[in-house]
Amino acid sequence: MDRVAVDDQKAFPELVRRFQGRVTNLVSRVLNDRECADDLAQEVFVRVFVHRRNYRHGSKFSTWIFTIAANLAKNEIRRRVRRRNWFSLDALEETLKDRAIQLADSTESRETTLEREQLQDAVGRAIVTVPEKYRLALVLRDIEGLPYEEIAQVLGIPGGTVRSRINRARGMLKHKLQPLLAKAGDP
Amino acid sequence: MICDRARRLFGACWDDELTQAERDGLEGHLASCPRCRTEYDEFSRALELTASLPRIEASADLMDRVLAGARHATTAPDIVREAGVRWAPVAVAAAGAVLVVAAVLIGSRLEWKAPASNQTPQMVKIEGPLEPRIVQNPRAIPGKRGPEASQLNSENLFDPDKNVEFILDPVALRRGRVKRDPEGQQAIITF
Repeated sequence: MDRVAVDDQKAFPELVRRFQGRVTNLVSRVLNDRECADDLAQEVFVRVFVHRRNYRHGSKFSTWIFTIAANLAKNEIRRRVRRRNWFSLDALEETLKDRAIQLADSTESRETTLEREQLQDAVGRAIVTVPEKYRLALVLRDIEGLPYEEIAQVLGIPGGTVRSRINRARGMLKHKLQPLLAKAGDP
Repeated sequence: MICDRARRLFGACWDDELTQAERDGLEGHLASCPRCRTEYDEFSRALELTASLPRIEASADLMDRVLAGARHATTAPDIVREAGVRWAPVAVAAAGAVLVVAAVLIGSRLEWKAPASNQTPQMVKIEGPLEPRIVQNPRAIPGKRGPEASQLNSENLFDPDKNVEFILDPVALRRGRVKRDPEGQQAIITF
């Protein structure tokens, strides 16, 4: 990042190469929308470039870039809520029940590719029904694997609040996945 | 360990942040409580599924798009800088306007004070048997101007032989009239 800040022409593409996967994954999981995630990831890196001289030396670059990504994702979620471009919770519950029935009725191994994809799709859809402030903490912790202290810095909230948000988010996710977990757990 | 306490430890257990005593207590409780055992199994299964979601890779053209966006951002003015430039002339104009208004106000105040200072010598308090000064007022008697009118005014207004005290109103000296007190000892000419 220091090289990017002094306009080293090779440094910025290298930085993008290193972080593009993590940034894309983060915004994809928060939004559950691949196309939008690409656009947001692009916006994240452009902002990094534009504000490269504002980066404080000594702070962790991943924290800074995740903060930008989390803020853009938050803005996108709020924009979607305003536009009501949002699928309903009822629709999600129907989807989860369908998936659970398919898994229960399956005579073949549950670990087939199709079933796994369906399961992952259902989990991805369940994550986006968790309210925004809990969802970001959940994705940063349980998908990106960030430590609590770094999540606190990214979200700009105290460590205790991070823990409580993550606990609540996990509880909500478990509740939303309940039909799927119950069926999938049957012998 | 009661169920509520055990369930509050699920998250810390998943994050491997329990003390040995807490872990022993939780494991003991889960072994004896089937409901909490089921709850924990579902909890950990949900988190396993979440953690095992496949990583979504960046699209192949992301790098090109980012570099194009960065190039565009360097040629186009930055939003923050643009906002600063947009506000600069406004601030300069506002400061200029304030200076002009201040200058006008100060100037008008000086102009307003100037005649007052000229009139100050005319604010005279006459004591003793002095003949009062009469300020010429050409409009006092229509059609009469100059010394003739002044003479006529003085004759009409007071008797110069009487010993009276005049207090001239210092505010305005263009028009005036005489007021006498009931005893006739003092006359005040207001203009």
